[in-house]
Amino acid sequence: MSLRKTFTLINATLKSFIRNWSSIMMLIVFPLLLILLLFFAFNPDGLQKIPIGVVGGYADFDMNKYSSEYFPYLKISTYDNLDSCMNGIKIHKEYLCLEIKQQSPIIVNVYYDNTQSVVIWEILDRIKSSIDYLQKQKSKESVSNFLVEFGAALDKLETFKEQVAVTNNQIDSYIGGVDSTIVKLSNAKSDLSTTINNMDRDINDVKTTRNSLKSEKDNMYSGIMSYINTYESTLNQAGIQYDIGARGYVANENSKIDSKFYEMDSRIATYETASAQGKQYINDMSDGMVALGQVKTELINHKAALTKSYADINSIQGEFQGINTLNPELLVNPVVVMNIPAYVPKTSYTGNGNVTVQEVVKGINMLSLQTLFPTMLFLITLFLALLISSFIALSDINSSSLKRVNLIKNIAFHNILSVYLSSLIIIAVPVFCVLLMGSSLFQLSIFANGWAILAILFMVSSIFIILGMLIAQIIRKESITLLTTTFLLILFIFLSGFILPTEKMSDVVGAMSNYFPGKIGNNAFIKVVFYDQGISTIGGEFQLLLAWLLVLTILLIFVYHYRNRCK
Amino acid sequence: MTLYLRTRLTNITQGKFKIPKLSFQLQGGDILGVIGRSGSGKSTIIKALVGAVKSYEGTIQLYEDSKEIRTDTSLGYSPQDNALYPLLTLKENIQTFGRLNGMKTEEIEERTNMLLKRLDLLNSKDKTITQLSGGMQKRADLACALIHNPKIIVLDEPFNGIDVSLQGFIWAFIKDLSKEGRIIIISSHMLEDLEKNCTQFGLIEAGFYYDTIQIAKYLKNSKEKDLESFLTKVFSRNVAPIGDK
Repeated sequence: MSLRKTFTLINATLKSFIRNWSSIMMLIVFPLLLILLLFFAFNPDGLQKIPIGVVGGYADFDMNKYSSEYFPYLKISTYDNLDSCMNGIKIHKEYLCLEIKQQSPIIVNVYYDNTQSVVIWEILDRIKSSIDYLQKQKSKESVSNFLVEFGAALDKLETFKEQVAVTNNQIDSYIGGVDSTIVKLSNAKSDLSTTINNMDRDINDVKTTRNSLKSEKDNMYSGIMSYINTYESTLNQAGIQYDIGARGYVANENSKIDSKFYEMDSRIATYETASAQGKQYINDMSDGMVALGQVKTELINHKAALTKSYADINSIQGEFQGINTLNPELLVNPVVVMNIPAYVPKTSYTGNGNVTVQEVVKGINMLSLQTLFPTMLFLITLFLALLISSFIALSDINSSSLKRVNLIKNIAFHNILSVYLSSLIIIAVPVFCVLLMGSSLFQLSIFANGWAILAILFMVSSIFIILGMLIAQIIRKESITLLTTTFLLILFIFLSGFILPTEKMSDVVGAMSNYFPGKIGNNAFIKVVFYDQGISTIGGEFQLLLAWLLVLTILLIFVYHYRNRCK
Repeated sequence: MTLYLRTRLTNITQGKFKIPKLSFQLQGGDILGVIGRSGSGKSTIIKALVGAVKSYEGTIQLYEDSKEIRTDTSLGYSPQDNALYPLLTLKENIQTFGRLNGMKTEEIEERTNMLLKRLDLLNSKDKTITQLSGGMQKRADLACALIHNPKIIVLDEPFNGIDVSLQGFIWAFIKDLSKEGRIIIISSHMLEDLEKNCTQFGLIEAGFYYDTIQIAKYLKNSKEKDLESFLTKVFSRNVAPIGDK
């Protein structure tokens, strides 16, 4: 079948649409401005300057002090009492009042204006996050300080360990000195013993010799005396009185020799005394050596104790080193629940630990804005598709030209197709603008997944275009069609989970809404854009959308046929 | 070309209107004037003839040189209110309907120029319909109705709201078309003009259709000297219903 007639009708419809400035303004320019306004209305920094009141405060928890760092989104006013702050809530001057009740632990009562239901939860959540963050930072600060001081203690321990090592070395040196002294003393004792023994032997020899000599001298003296006596006797006998003085001489000499012997005895006695003294020295040396041995033993014991202490210090140091390397975060929060989004925007929030509270807030905002984008896109698509298609269909139905067009054979197919395609072409412009803004402002990977997104939007737009055409065909009056379209729009927006999440709906309505095109399209879009899933993963969604499209198209054909037959 | 149109329709229904029987035969060159008071069902008959109303029984058969041809493609229709795209230019309108009727581009171009010239619209071809006067819009509508060179031309009250000089222009144009051997069916309240220009008549009154022969019979039986005064009396209900059906 040639589509020449279709293109002719599309050409006529589009030209008529473009030349009708009121329709251009109402259906293209106005929505585009609205879209622009919507997109630029979103503050990427999230909530800004929310007025809150603070009652009380302590040096350790001064909201004003932390304001710029932890609560940049708050405009804090201080109140003397809770009543005046509550009055501030009642006259819509404040969103909430923080009453700081107690210090250590800090207890904060939060009085909030629950008539501002949507935004108040976000503010409360944000304040809770900031306080959690502040609490964590404070705890981390304390733990970090402790760990720094602990590190200093570990340094002191290291110094002490070094001192122990030095002492140990000194003991080693002392032990060596004692050993050396003992050896020297032993050698000296041995030498002295040998000398004294030799001396004793010499004394004994001298004494033996002296005794022998004395005996020989005494014998000799006795012999000489005897001889003299004999000789004198002989002489006397002989009568010779002859005294030659020999006796005296011999006795004198004997005395001299005896005195020599006395002198010798005296010296021997001196030597013997010296020997005894030497022996006493040897004994003393032996005692000293024993004492030194004991000192050495004690030194060795001390060394062993020091070595053990050194090992103990090493062990303690090892254990303390483990403590020193502990993450302050871990000490503060041994059990940490990290809510990690499966989808993280590629910019702003990188997920590393060195992120500031402002960056976190910005990251969360970007994330929430990005996740909000599909809802906005499908809301806009739904809104434009329904309104534009019903407008085009009504223009066609109520166009005077239709009286002639309808006379042409088999024109119904071309007519329906041309209204559908014209609507699709017109809708494509603002939807493309939305996608462009999604890509540039919301930094979503729209064009990287262009085909899949195009396919989803094509299906969803087609469904709502056909629906708009169907309403127009059924009602055929502009004012009532507009009303009906608005009601349907609200119904579809609600049942697609754009106002109330489907999870919060009752079981039946929730289950129903999961099969509504807005919701299906939204799910498919999220899969494709946020998780870069290919077109193959959205087959289920496609089948559901196709079923919707088929049912609505059949209904449209039926209604079109019925309405044109009954004229 | 010799045309012959035979219409035998029964139970034509459109909303509150119900016409039990519509039967007439026309030949090429005939101008059928359909007359009737306002709200009598003239437009319903016209719409049934052009296929805009389909709830009827019977057939409309068109023969060209004794060979039956399709009616829908041989029909040009100008409704009571113009059937034009108001925001398209005159030329775009004509070309659009040419394309929709399956004509080739060159053929459309040729016939557009010819029609614009014949209907004295050459200077206004690039103006949108909304920029044209009422008379020009009617001529523009005629041009669109004629772009595909139809053999039967159906005009539903073409003289509404146009001045006398233009009425004359259009009658002259209609007569030219008739002379070309086309069949013209025209509904109007202009009884004098119809009597002067039409070769056949159809009267719709009280839900019944009366053809030329029946009207002539009743005219003869009445004391009126001409069709206009007879019909004026009929429409003002100064005479009884004109007969049994």
